[in-house]
Amino acid sequence: MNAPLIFQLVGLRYKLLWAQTRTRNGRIALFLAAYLFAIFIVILMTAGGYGAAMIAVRSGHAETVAQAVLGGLFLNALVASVVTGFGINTAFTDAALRRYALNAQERLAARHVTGILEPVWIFVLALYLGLSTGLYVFGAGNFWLGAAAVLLLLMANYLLARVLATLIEWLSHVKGGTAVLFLLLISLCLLPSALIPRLVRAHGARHAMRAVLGYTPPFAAAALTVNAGAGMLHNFGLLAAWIAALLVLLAAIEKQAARPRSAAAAVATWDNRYERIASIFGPTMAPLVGRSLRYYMRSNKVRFNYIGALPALAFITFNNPAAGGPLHYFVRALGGFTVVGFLGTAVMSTNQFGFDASGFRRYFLLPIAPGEILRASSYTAMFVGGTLVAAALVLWVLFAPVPFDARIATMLLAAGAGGLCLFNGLSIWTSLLAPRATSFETTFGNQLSLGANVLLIGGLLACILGVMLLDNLAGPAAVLSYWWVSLPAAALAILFYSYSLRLGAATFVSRRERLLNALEGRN
Amino acid sequence: MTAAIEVANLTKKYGETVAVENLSLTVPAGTMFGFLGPNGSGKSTTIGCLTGLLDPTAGSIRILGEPFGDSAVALKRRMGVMPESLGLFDALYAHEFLFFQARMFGLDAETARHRVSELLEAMELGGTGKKRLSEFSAGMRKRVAFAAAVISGPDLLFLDEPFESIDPAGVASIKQWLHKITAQGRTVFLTTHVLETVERLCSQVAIITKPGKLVWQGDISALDRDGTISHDGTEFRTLEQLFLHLTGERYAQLDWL
Repeated sequence: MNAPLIFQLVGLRYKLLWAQTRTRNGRIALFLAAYLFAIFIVILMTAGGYGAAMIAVRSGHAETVAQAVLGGLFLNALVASVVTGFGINTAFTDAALRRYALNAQERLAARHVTGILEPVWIFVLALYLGLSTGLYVFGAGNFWLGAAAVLLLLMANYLLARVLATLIEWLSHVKGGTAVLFLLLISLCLLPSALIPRLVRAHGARHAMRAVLGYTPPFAAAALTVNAGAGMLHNFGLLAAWIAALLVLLAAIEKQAARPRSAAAAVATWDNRYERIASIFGPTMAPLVGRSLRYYMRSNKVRFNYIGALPALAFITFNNPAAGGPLHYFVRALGGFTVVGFLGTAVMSTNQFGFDASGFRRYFLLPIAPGEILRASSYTAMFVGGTLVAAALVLWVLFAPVPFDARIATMLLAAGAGGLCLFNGLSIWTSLLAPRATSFETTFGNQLSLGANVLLIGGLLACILGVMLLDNLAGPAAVLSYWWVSLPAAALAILFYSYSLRLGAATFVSRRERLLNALEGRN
Repeated sequence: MTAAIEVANLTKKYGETVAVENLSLTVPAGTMFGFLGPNGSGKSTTIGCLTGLLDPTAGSIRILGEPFGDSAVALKRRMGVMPESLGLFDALYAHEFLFFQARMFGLDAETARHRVSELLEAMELGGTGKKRLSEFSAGMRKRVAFAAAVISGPDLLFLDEPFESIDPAGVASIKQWLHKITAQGRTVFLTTHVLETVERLCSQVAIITKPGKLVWQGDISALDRDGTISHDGTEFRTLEQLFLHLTGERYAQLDWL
């Protein structure tokens, strides 16, 4: 194994990460990351590892607490990395590594060593180690055994995230894969809230669940962190088996995904669907909107988010059974409707030029005012997002367990339209002020700029938490009695959008060289 | 002879860095004009300013007899540009991209479709209907970019390294079309590092050095007739000799190589 060269590559990966801090956005990201890291360290030392370990030992149920903490961390790391893409972006592809003196096995090792040494996984390891060290300090475990167990757990965690992300990436490229993903997403969003209460009530189900969970990596690692004796070999074997199985599975999926999908020779066929839709925006806009529509509709990232937006809305609305009547569902739906149209297109609308690569140059060669390009791209996002709002409203009227009330429909429509305008207005600014060159072909991986991340994650949280607050403080009846407030609020959002478009057009022209530099990788 | 491009005292700065300094240039209409310079001398920056991509820091530009600026939409309609980075929209198919380009330049849908089909056949890209531009080879991408530049039948054509990566048959076809364009009184503004190509194709040449300073402009048609170019009392038999003389010969000795 060519270990020196592999670690040279790890070093190169960190140099590349550090190089990103040379940009203004990079410096802001570094500052925030350092700030967050400091906070997390405090949390880790108090409530995380040591705290959990202390509770574990004092409660007399060390293994149960360890199972819960490691299981929770494992799941959170998995979801966070697969959903946001942190830690599973491929730093070096197999093709890129072929230029170095590495054989196939060494290339595989290089990819996964650089992958698992990404900062996010080191942070997850710190959390795992916090618990195992805490258990050792409070006399409930063996230090080295615990450390070895959480190291193996981290490997399993990383590999499972890679398997899931690669599988989803592959599914999104094959015929029918999008439908499978859609079903999986709906199941993931709706099944837990439907199944877990029933399982908890069912006799014997809890024991059966515990028995099954005993074979999972977090439970095996939890047993090892608190128990040096019985079952040690069994649990180490279990972790090793998981890692081996995941490695084999990952290799198989990567092999399948790497098969060339080049199109067979075919003559040009004139598909006018996009032109027909775009023609509603007028003759000047039609070619630009048609081009943007093709980008939106062909992007796996957008398609994945688009099909996931309605299940996400259902999750936000129906995740917890509404205590106190079905009207509570309506208040939660308000938050969901505000963000649903934006969720479907955010990966592209918050970074409108990031997918254009060198095509960005062409905008300024076209015989039109550059502001028209910004306008066309934004109209496309509004149009695509608008279809989600319309679909959500129809589904709500047909299936929501809430009696029909015109005020509810009006409020939801106003929230949908207002949210669409507000978030797309803000997206104009993230596109202009925080652009980032992004790969069109990938489905996963968080390639949004810092500004876009703040807008997307912040917007989502604000909508979810805002309506929870509204529900708790005012209650659904009071919210409904002020239904008319939604109309001026939506009108304000429309005004903001229209103002952003106008001011954004001038900013687009004045910042074009900076945008060009950012999109072509120059500072 | 009227001028297709008139540049007076053009300067482009990026902060403190001067990319083009006080460049004045006149390109006669109906010529094939070679714009040459070493790497980093400011050729692409000059083209950026001449085509509307970049804002000049100072100086004036007249294109086809009219002042050129941000709002010169009508003038842009008469120009075709093939940028060095090609400027393709990778998620589109070739015919979709060319159709988009044609429509943006004011062609009606029927004419646009007709020209797209003809160009795809002429560029030997006829069987690529279901292949995105991102999947094209370097040479195929270059052909698409060339087709996009000419699809509107421009009066002034900017070509930045047009022949790189294209096979000999493709290069021959493009050269033939370029001759046809100039024969009709239209102008081609060409940059390339292949000086033999410039020697054979262009009648007029301008050479710049860092930072975007014009060091020579003149007629090179004599070279095509086995003649010479005279500069500072020296006779140059090839464009390469003149270019190296003006820009400075640089040969580094690498003992280990």
